[in-house]
Amino acid sequence: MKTGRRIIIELVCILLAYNLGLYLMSQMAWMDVLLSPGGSESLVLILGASIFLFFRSFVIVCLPGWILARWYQLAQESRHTK
Amino acid sequence: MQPRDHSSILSRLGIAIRQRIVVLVLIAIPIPFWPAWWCGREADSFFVGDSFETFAPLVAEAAHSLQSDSGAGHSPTGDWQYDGEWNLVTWQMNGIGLCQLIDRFPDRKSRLAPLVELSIDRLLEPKTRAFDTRRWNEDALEGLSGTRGHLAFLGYANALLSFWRKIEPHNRFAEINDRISEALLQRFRSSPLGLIETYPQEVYPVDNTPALASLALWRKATGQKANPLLPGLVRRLREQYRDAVSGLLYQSVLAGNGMPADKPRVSGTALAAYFLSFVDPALSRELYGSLKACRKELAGFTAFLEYPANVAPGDGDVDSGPVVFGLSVSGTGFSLASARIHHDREVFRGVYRQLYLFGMPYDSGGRRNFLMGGPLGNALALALLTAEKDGGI
Repeated sequence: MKTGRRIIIELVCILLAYNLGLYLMSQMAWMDVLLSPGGSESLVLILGASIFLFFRSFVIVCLPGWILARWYQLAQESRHTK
Repeated sequence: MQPRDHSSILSRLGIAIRQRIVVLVLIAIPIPFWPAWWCGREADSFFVGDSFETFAPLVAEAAHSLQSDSGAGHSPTGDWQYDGEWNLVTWQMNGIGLCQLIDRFPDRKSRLAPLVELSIDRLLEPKTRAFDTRRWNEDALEGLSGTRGHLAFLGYANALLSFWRKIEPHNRFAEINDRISEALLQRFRSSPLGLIETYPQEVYPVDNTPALASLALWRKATGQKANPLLPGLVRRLREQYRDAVSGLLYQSVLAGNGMPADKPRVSGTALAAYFLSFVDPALSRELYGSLKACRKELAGFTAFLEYPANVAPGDGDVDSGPVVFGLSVSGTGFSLASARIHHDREVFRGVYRQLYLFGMPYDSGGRRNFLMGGPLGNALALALLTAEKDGGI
């Protein structure tokens, strides 16, 4: 029960962070610098956009597997602490 | 240290390694099916395309872009010429996408027609063609009776003008459409290469395809008899400007003799296959067949290599976008249209999944904004996702 609650909290945090990031990207139009040759020389902008792209890829590609893995990890932890 | 401690450490290490392997396996389990399912949920709706509601968020974004003049003061590339080209294609593709929707949903014409006319108004503003004026040192519309190519503006702009003419023959842009079409015909007639220059001494076969599409649509719109010039130009494109091995179009050729100046490439061929569907669906299909030989698939996602296997891979540029692991961003995106035109549901699904994952659609206020592509990406998505099956003619 504790394990399930913790996973749900982590999942909600990730999804909140993702949706907030998506909203910010839509407001600041940062993402299109990745496809624009020379559009921005700001390394911070490119870095920020790249990090968010990796985060999005993680959320879409790996999140279900990550939930399973966290479940397994937390179950192992709680077994060892008992 | 006691031997017992050694075995204890090794045992703990073994357990830790096993747990990490289990974690990695658990993370990997959904990867072969989950991302493809999630990213491809809407793919079939777009492929079938029988409901206007599917496209409504794209139309709303196009309306927003047109009304807010999203290209004004925006410098996505940091280069005046590329900025100008991207701005031009943004208005053109918005307009073409809207025309394709009117063709498919005639009952929506009253709502979409003002947006098409606004696209054309934006397209014909002097600032939209300023990059072409600067390269040729002459305004394209003032030089229509001359011999300079101006294809960067004339070909792309006339494709939209002719498409709108086909839908609304007596529209307020009919006269400029006639003048540009006559000028393009004259330039094609007098070209020893059968191609028009985009910029002085620069010839790109792909840039000639919207011009050819515009002439085919113009002929249909005005009810003229078939012009023998067009089949001849298409034949030369097929026989002279395609790589014999890969079947892809050369990205550029020498202005003097028409010999290849660049490699055969997917980005140019994919865009050409779309525009040629308005002129010669058979050639469009042939090019699409050549494109498919360059595709790569992984876990339900489809992407296209920028360079075919028979040439050495090169770098990305403004045409292809970044080339990552040899894969072409724009070539992959443009292929979406050909997949739909030529009824290839599997490839369409695979490419749509890529578009969803990396295009980063953001839905808000009834609009869908592809964050990765900016205004140009949104316009391209509208035009490519609404491409007509079997071509626009």
